[in-house]
Order: sequence, then structure tokens, then C-alpha cells
Amino acid sequence: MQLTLKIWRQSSAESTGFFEKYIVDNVTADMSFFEMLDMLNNDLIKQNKSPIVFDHDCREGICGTCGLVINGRAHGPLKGVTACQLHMRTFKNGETLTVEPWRAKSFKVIKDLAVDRQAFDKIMEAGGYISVKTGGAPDANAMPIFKENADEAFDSATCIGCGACVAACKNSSAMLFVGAKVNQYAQLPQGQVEHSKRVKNMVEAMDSAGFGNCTNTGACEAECPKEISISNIIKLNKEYLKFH
Amino acid sequence: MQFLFSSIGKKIQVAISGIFLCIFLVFHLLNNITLFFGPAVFNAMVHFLESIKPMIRIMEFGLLFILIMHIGNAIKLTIENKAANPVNYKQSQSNDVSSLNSRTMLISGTIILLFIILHLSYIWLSYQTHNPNNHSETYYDILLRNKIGFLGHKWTALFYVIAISIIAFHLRHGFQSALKTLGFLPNSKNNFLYKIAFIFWGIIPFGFIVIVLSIQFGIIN
Repeated sequence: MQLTLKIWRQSSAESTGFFEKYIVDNVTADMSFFEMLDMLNNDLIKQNKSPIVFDHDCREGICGTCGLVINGRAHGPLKGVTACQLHMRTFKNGETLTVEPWRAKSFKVIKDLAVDRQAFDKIMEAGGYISVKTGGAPDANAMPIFKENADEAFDSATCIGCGACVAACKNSSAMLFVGAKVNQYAQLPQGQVEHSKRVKNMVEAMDSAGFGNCTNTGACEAECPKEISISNIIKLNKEYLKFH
Repeated sequence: MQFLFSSIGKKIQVAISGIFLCIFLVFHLLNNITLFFGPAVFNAMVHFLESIKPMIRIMEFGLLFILIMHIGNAIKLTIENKAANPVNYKQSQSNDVSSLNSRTMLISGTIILLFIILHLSYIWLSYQTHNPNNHSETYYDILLRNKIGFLGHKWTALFYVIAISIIAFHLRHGFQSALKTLGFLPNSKNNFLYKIAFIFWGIIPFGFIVIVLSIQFGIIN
């Protein structure tokens, strides 16, 4: 199939970006979105043109490195799918696709479609960790945990930190990300050491990183490739109230 | 102090003030329902409120404070949110991922504020300056005047119906959003809270619209 791509090109964080149009032929239904971009990049390199820069790593939907907005949808039109796991069978022959980077003040464009997500690292540094005893790893079943808590912690822990929640939010709020991290640790005995400080410190880091404020529109939940529930934000609010 | 100025703190202020404003609407509607029982009952209700005026004044100032807290924080949040998201996507498909009312709270809120100003400048102000002892017109008559700003007037009634519908639109998102902000999960334990949201965005606005239309169609006259 043939597709028309309008891709955001920006040579550096300081420069002004623009949309460039590309016509891509010989796209097969089984190709992933990134394989299609790889094919386009090969052509650009052969023409001595600068290839399109985009973030990617595992291409299995588990690392959280990739992130593109395709036709206004973070990670493309499918629910619960990362951009790297999106296949071209989702699109029709002759379709025009607009591809943009995450748009948020806290996620500066590095080049083209790649953005700087260090703001998330700053939030994690503020409280996204647990204190553990050094030494040998304890036996996996040594610490009893209620099934409900283990399940909930696991659901929150599936957050891959890709930033789609921020990208989808009209306020560029990072509360789904922070909520998922806070809730994951709050559910587990290992997370109790820093429990009372964690929420305060992580919210403070989130606010100072310049993310917007959540207005419960639910766009984050709808666009999250790991389908993290907005109930993580509700629990974040509850934890914040509890420890103030 | 740090709590009040944090992102969640500001959200909580908007949520709590919003819920108080919703509770005010319940009392407002209960007062207005007396219109259906005729002029004597309505005037007696207003006379009663006049007799406890110092208390009403304190409540009015309280309400004004709550309103300022709601609007002030909402404006601050909106300015910060715009600053956090300065570039729009070329193609936006927001309708697929979020509801229109959740995205337009500032617009609906601004229209509601204009409505409140007009509503107070006509009806509330007329009641403040009215002395029934020196005048043949009762409180009931003032409300039903066929003049701009009063409910006997056709176009004013239409404006009221539109404004009340916008209040419903605002509360459709606002009430359940406030519950989320205050940490109430929509689980079986709190389900009733999410169910009563319908009272605020459905039943109460409907009640006000019924009153406005009842005046227009002569059921209240």
C-alpha cells in the first residue's frame, strides 16, 4: 500500500520545527509502524538526506522508549498498544498520517520525534524507589501479600513510563504516571518504609518539573498503552490528603 | 501552605468549593419550589429569610468566599495548564478520549459566572432594596415581572433555560470529578456517591427549568 506521511521535523530543541510530507510506497500490512519508518529512513539515507529521528528500543511494547502521536492519538489509534506494536494493517491504502512528537513543556523535543523525558526520571528520583536490605535475595514467597494488593500493585507496575498520559492530556499532567508509581509501592509491604514521604516528594517533583494539573478528563487512561486506570490518580489524591 | 499551592491542593480546593456550591443549589431549589404553593407561601418563606437576615448575610459572604475560591483556583490551574502545554497537536481527536464537558469547564464556568452576575443584579438586588410595607408589589410579584431580567419575561426565561442547561453540563463533569479529587474511588462502597451525582447535574437543573417554564406557561402566576 501507499501512504502519505506528514512528519514533524525539528533539527534541535532550539530550532523551529515544521511538517514534511513523504510518500511511502511498498508498505505491507504485516510491517510494524517502525519498520515502515525504517524503510523510509533507508530511502532518505540513500538520497543523502537526514533520517527521521524517533525513540525506540525493545519494539515489543514493554520498554516505554517509543512514543509518537499519530493522527492526534498517542501511540496511534489502537487501544492498549504502543507505537512499536502498531502494525500497518491498522491503516488503509492511500491514507494520510500526521506524525508528531509528544507535545508538553516538560518534554522538550530533542530532534524530530524524539523527546527528552528526564522530567520523569526526576520524579522517580524523588520517591520511586524502596529501601531494601543488602545481601542475598529473599525467597520469593517469604513475605505474604494479599492477592488483591499483589494484583493491584502489578496493574500499577505495568506502567512503562512512556509519557503517553502526558502527551494525551490537554493539561500535560503527569498524574497518571505519578499515581501508578505511588500506588504500586503503597500496595506492597516493601514500599512502606518511605510511604509517608513518597507521595509528597513525588508530587513536589512533578509540580516543579512543570507538568500541568489534572482535571480528570480521562484522556490519559484512554490513551495509556498499558491501560493504567484513572483510579491510580484517585488513590494518589487520597494518599496526598492522608499524608498532609 | 505548601499543600494549598500544590497541584493536588489546588484541585482539592476547587473540588470542595464546587461541592459546597452544589449543596447551595439544593437549598436554592427547595426555596423556589414554594412558588408552586402560591404567593402567600412564597412570600412567607422570603419574610422568614428576611427575619433571619444577619445569618443569611453571613452565609452569603461564606458563599462569596467559596465562589472566589472555586473561580480563583480554576483560573490559576488553567493558566498553569496552558503554560504546561503550549503547543497543540496538528490533528486532535480529543472526542475519542475525553468528553466535551470535561474539556470546556472554563468556558461553561465563565458563562455560569456571567449568568450569576445577571441573576443577582436583577432578582437578588431587587429583593435587597424592596420594602413590602411601602409597596403593593410582593416578592412573588417581583420574581414574575414581565421585564428583562425577571422570569415573566419570555427572552429572559429562554436565557435562564440555556444558562441552567450549561450549569447541568458543567456539573456533569464537575461533581464526579470532585469525588475523584477527594479520593473516592467509584467502587461498590462509594457507588452511591457517584449515583447522587445525577441529582446535581440532572434532577436539580431540571427542577429549575421546570420552575422557569411553569412561570412562562402560567402554571405559576
